[in-house]
Parts: sequence; C-alpha cells; structure tokens
Amino acid sequence: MSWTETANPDLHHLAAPYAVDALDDRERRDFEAHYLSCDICSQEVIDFSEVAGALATGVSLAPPPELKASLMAGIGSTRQLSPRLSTLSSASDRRRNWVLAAAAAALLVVGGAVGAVAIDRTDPVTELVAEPDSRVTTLTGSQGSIQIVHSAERDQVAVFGADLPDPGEENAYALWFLLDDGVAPAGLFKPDDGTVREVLNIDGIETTGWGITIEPATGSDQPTTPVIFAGTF
Amino acid sequence: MSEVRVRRLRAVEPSGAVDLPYLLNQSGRGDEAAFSQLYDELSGVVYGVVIRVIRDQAQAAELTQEVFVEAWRLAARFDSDKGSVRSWICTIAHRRAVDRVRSEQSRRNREEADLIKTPVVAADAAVENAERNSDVEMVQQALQVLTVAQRESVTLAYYGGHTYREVAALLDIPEGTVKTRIRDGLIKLRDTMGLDQ
Repeated sequence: MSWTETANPDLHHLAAPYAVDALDDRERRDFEAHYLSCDICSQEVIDFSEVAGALATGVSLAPPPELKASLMAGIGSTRQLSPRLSTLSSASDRRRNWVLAAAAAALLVVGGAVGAVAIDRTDPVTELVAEPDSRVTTLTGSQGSIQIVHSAERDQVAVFGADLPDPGEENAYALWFLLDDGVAPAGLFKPDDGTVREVLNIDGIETTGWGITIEPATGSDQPTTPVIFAGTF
Repeated sequence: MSEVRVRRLRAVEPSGAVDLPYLLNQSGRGDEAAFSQLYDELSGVVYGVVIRVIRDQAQAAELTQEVFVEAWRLAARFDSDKGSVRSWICTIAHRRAVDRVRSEQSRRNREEADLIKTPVVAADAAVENAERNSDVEMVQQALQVLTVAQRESVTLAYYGGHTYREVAALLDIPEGTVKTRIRDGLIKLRDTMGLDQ
C-alpha cells in the first residue's frame, strides 16, 4: 500500500490517541481507513489498547449487584454470532480483523436498547470494512481525500471522502475500474457537504485500481472530464 | 454444583490467574456459567471505566449491561492471539462511554477543572479481592511514573473522554503537544507495566 506517498502523514501518529478514543469522529474514521493497511499502526493500536485496558483496571469499581441478574436474564434471549470461518491470509490480517470487530462493536450503539443490538444489520459501511477480504486504497487527488474499501467477496466498495469539491447540481462523482486496456464505470456518488461515507454495489470486475471523475449525475460509459483522483494497488 | 467446580478448576491457570480467553470461548458456545464467571472477573473494570467517563450511575449500569450483552454476542469471534480479553472488552466499553458522552450536551456540565486537579483514585468498593487490589495499585503507581504533563493529557483523554483537541484547548497548549504527550505517556505506561510482549 502506498499510503505514505499519498496521504496525510499525520495519520501515522494517531494510534495512541485512537486507542484512548481521543480522536473526533472524522479523524477516527480516517484513521480506521488507514491503519487497516498499515502494519505498524495496526500493531500500535493493539499495544496501546492493552495500555488503555490497564487504565480501565486502574479505576475498577464494582457495579450494583442487581446488574448481574438482569444481564444473565437478558442473554438467554440474545442470539450469538457464529465464529468467522473465512480463511485469513496473514497474522496481521487476523489481528486487524479482531481490532476492527471490537471497534465495530463499539461503534454500534449510542443509547441503543439492550438486546436489540444487531451488528450485521446496522451499518453497511462498518460491515463491509469488517469483511476479512476488504482492501483499502487511498486515492491521490489535488483537493480533499478519498479512500475506497473494496470487498471482492461482496462485490461492494465503501467510499470514504472528505473535503471534496461540490460537483454541481447536475453532476456526480464517478468511480472507475482501472483495467489493463482502459476503464469501466463502477458507480456514482454525491458528497454531502463535502463528505461521503457510502457503500456502492459494483460489478465483479478484477481491477488494478480506482479512478474518479466528475460526470453527469446519470453516469457516463467513459470519462468525459479529467481524472481528479486515482490509486492503484 | 460439581459442574461449576470443574469449570472453576479448568479456568484457573497454575499461576492463579483466571483464564479469561477460555471463559470467553466457552461463553461463545452458549455456556452461561462461564459467562457468569467472566462477568465476575471483568464487570468491575467495565463499570469502573464507564462510570469514570460518563459520571452517572444509572447510565453507567445500563451501558455496562450493553457491553456485556455485546461480549456475549461476539464471544465466538474473539481470538486470543490478537490481544487480551480485557483489552477487547475495554475497547468496546470505553468507546461506547465516550460516544455517549459526546452525543450529550451534559458533558458541558462536567467540571473539567476538578478532573485536572483530582488525582486518579479507585474507589474502595472496587476492591473485591487482593488480586484486583494489587492490579489497581499497580496502575496507580505506573501513572505516577509519568511526568505531570503526560499524566494530565492521558487522564483527561482517557478518563475524561476528551478528544486531544479538547485537551489542548483545556490546557491551552498546542494540539501536537497533546498528541505527543499521550503517545509518550502510553509508551511509558506500557513499559512500566510490562505490557509489551
């Protein structure tokens, strides 16, 4: 992965604040998109999370005794998820997966009802990013930032974008497959106030990377404007 | 009864430490007795950190229950090669506590100044046995190894639930300085407590 060449180098220094949840929502999102593809940051997140766990231990406090009975009554009616059966390619992939599962679980509920939590139905973006085969590509562009998380297993991509120029009322951002002999349309998205966080269903084409142009909102067969973002694997 | 007895024997390692991965693994197979024991081991840590961040007993109890329900649901997906059970459940607990605090306006009412001045002290009620007591003490001692500046940034971020930007604003220092202090502080804590592999 070529993150170091293409993106904000500051991201490499965010593992510690990330582990103590000291990033705001946007930085957290950006860092999560980054560290999946960065072995150093992945390891740091694991290490610093252990320290955070120790900090929690430092303020241990027995909960009200009645809590346990209520919890034990509740789990009887709570379905458990099956283990993941996917074959993961490396230790670091499995590690990322574990950290992500914890992060995804943590992301899910803000004030949700006990027992009504459903990780697999809540957020398609989180779900896709947690796919074992998902691959993050950071695109290079002159204004704003875009990351694409692709799962070939699901034929989906999650698009994360920030600080993107408004494409105009009649236009949209077009994502392109980069092929050996040209490009093929993958999908369209429109940023909301410069940001985008959305899942696109795409064709199962084996691509060597991603490109982005501005196109009419109805889409184009081939790019009609210059490429504004691109990234290869 | 005898079943519980056997399980307890199995869950305790020769060192006397409870085998949390084993309990979580069993929980993932629907073993409620193992989950009950897991709760006994970790509920103090989870409740302690949650109440520390959100500072409301009723909400802390509710959130603690949510965290354990989630641990029950996800138990089968835990892999002990990738980190400790404690770290896993604390990640879930702290993130949720922080998200809840940030989503509420009530955070403005918290007294930041007090947090800065008050040393981190674990409530005595937390101390259920000698084992836990020594854990709490070890963390408190490790925190004393940090410089005042590092400790301030780490505790405002982790126990206070503030972003590093908010910490910078609270202390009136540059954001980069806070990031560095948090990082250096965590590294020093890791080394002091022997958490690096």
